[in-house]
Amino acid sequence: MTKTTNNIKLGLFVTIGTALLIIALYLIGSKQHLFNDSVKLNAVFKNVDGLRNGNNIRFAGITIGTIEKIDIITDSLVVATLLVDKESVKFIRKTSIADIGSDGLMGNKLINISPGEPGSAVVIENDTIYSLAPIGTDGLMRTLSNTNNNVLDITQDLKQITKRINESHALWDLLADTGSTKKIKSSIQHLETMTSNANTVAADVESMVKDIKNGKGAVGKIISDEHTAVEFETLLKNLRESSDTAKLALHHMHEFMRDLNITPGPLGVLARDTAMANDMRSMIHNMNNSTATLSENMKALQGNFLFRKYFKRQAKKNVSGK
Amino acid sequence: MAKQSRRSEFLSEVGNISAFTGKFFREGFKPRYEWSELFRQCYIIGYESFPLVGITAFIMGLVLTVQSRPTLEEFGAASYLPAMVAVSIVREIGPVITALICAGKIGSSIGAELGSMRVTEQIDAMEVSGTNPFKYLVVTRVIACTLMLPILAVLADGIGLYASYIGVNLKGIVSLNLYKTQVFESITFSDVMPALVKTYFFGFAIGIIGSYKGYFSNKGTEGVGIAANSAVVVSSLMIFVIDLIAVQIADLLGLT
Amino acid sequence: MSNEENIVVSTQHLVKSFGENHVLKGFNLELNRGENLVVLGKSGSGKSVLIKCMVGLLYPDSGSVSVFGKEIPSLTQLQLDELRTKIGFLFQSSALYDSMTVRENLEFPLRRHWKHKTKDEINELVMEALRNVGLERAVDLMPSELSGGMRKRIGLARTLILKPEIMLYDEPTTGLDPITGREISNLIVAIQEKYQTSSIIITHDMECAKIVANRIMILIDGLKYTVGTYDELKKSNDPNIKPFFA
Repeated sequence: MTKTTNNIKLGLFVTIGTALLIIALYLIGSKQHLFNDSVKLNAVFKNVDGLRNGNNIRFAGITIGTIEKIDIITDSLVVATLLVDKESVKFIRKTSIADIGSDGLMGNKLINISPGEPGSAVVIENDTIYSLAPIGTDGLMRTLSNTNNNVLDITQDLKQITKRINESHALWDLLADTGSTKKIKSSIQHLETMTSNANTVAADVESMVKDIKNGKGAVGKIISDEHTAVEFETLLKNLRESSDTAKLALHHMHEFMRDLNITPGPLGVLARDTAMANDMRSMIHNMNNSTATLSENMKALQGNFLFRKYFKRQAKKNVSGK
Repeated sequence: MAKQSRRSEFLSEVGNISAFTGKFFREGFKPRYEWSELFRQCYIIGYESFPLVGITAFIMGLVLTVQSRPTLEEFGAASYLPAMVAVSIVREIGPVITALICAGKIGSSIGAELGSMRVTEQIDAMEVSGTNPFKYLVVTRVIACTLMLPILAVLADGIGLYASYIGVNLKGIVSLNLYKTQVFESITFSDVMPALVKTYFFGFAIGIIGSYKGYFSNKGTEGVGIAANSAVVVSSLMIFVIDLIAVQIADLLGLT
Repeated sequence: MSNEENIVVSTQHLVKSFGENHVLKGFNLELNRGENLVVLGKSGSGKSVLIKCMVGLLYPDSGSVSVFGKEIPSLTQLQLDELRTKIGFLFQSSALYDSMTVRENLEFPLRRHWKHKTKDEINELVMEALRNVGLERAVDLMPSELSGGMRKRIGLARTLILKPEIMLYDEPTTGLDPITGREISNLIVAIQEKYQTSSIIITHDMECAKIVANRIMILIDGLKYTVGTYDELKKSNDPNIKPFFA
C-alpha cells in the first residue's frame, strides 16, 4: 500500500523534473532557432572579427537565425553558414549585405543583414550574400588612437605657434600699424578691381575671338592691314607684361602669406626686420603700379580706334541685355 | 615512515574504490535486476531529498541575486542581473549545491545504513539467503543516485531561478515575462548540457563512495560513524574534483 | 562407507588467517547427519570464521571445506546459491533487515528461492515459521521494536523458512539473559527434532552447550583440541578443558 503511494510520489517527482528540463531545453532551443524550419545561406567575409558559432543573425533588429559554422576558405576569405528562419528568409534579397556588428559595446558579435535593393530577387537555399568590412571595436579603437595622436600633434604645434606669436613684438607692432593694414586693404581692393577688369577683358577677348572666327566686324580688316597688326601686337604684348607683373606681385604676396602661416622661424626674423617691412611696402607699391598699368592698358585698348566700335557695341549690347 | 604509510593508505583506498566501481559495472548490468528496491531507493534519494534541496536552492538563488546587485549596479549593468544569476545558477550553483546537499544527506545515510548492515551481519545474511547484496544494496543505490541527482539539480535550478526572480523584484521591477526572456536568452545548450552531464557524475560519485564506505566498514559501531563521516567528506571532495575535470572538458570541447 | 555418507559437513586441514593473525591452523571437523555439534572456544578463537567458510562467506587459505560432498571454494556463484538454500545460518546479531518489517524479513529469502509461490502460500509459510518460534503477533513490527530475544527468534524463523537441512548457529545465546538463552537453546533442540536438521552450534555458553549438544568439540589455537560428549568432557582433568566447565 505505502509502496504504491511511494511509487506514485516518485513518479510525480521524476515527471516534474523531466518536464522542467524538457521545457527549459525547448525554450533555449527556440531562442537559438533550433526547432524552427530554417534555410541555409552563406555569407562571405574578409574578417569575421570574433564571430562564433551560434551567434545571432539580425534583420531590421530582429533575430532571425543563428550561425551554424564558420570556415576559412582562403587566406582572405571566410564563409559563415547561416541558419535563417524560413519565414524570415523572404525578406532577404540577393543584394542584401551582411555586416558584423555587436550587441552593445561589450556584447556578443552578431550579423546584421540589410534589406538590399527593392527590385532584386529573394535569396534561396545555399545562396551567398556579400559583406561589408566589419567595424570592429579594434578598428574603432585604432582609428580613434590615430586621431588622438593627430590631435595631440596639432595641439602641440598650435601651442608652439601661439608661443612664438606671443613672443614676437614686431608682429604685434606690424599688426598694430594701421598704416600698413590700410595699405594691405587697399592693395587687396586694387587686386579685386584688377581681377574684375581682367575678367571683363577676358570675356571681351573671348567674344571678340568668337566674332573673328565668324568673320564679323572689322577683324577682317585688321588681319589684312599690316600696320594695324603691328600695333595690335604691341598692345597685346603690353597687356601680357602687365598681367605678368600682376602675377609676380601675387606670387610675392602668396609667398609672404605662406611664410606667415607655416614658417614661424623666419617670420619672427622677417617681422623684426625693418628692411622686410620696407620690402613689403615696396611690394605693395609695385602691385599698385602694376594694377594701374593694367588699367591703363585696358583703357588704351578701349581707346584704340580699331576696337572702339567693338567696345561700344559691347556696351550697347550690355545695356539692351539688361 | 608514518607519511609513507599514509600515502600507501591513500593509494590503496583509491585502488579499492576503483575496484569497487569496476565491480559495480560488472555486476550492475547483469540480471537479476532489483527493480522494486531500485524504486524504493529512488524514492528515498530523490523524493525525500527534494525538500532539503529545494529550500537550499531557493535561498541560494535569492541570496546570489541580492548579493550580485550592488556589483552590477556599480557597472551600471543592473539589467544584466537576471542573465548573470541565471547563468551562474544553471552552470554551477544548482548542480554543485544539490550535489553537496546530497553528499551530506544521501552519502551519509548510505554510508551509515550499509555500515550498520555490515556490522550487524545483515549483508552476510543477505548473501547467505541467496540475494547478491552487492546488487541489492550497492547497485540499486548507485543507480538511484545517478538517476535522481540530475532531476534534483534541474528542480533546484528551477527553484533557484524562481527565487532569483523574487530577488530581482525586491529592488526594482522586472515582469516574469521579461525575466523569462532575459534568462532564456542568456542560457544556451552549452550551459545546460555540461551542467546536466556533470550531475550524473556527481550522483554516481556520491552513490559509489557512500556505498563503498558503508559496504567495507570495519566491525563495530564506531566503524558505522566513520563510514558515514568519511562518505560525506570524500564524496564532497570528489564533487569538487569532478567539477574541476568537468570544467576542463567543457572548455576543451568549446562549451563555454 | 555408510559412515561417510552420514557426514554432511567436513573440513580438512582448514587454514585461514587475516594478515598476521592465524585463526585456523589446519582444523578438522565432521558433522554427522542429524546431530547437534557444539564447537566451544574462547572469543576470537576463529569459531565464527569456521562456519562462515562453510557457507562461502569466507574462503579458506588452504584445506578443504565440503558440504554434502561439494567443495565450497570450487563452486560457482549459482551452485553456491543452490547449496545455500539447504543451509540455515543464524547470525550472532540476528541480522534482521532494519528497513523491513518482520514479515518482509521473513519473505526476503523466499524472493530468490521460491519464486513461484502465490501470496497465500507465502503468507502461510511466514506464519508457520513465526508459529515455530512463538512470535506470530510480531508479524507487522519493525526489528527496532523487538527485544534481543525476539530478534533472535525472528532470525531463527527467517532461517527456518527455507527448511534447511543443515543449521549453523553463531553464538545463539550471546547477549541474552539466562532465561531467554535457555528458551533459545530449547528451540534449537525442538528444531532438530522437528526437521531432523544437522547443526553446528558455535558458543561459549556452557548451559546452552549442555542443553543442545550431542557432541562437543573444543577449539584451541586454531586446532581441534578434543571431541566428546558433555559428560565426558566435564569429567576431564585436562587443564585446557577445565576452564570451560568452571
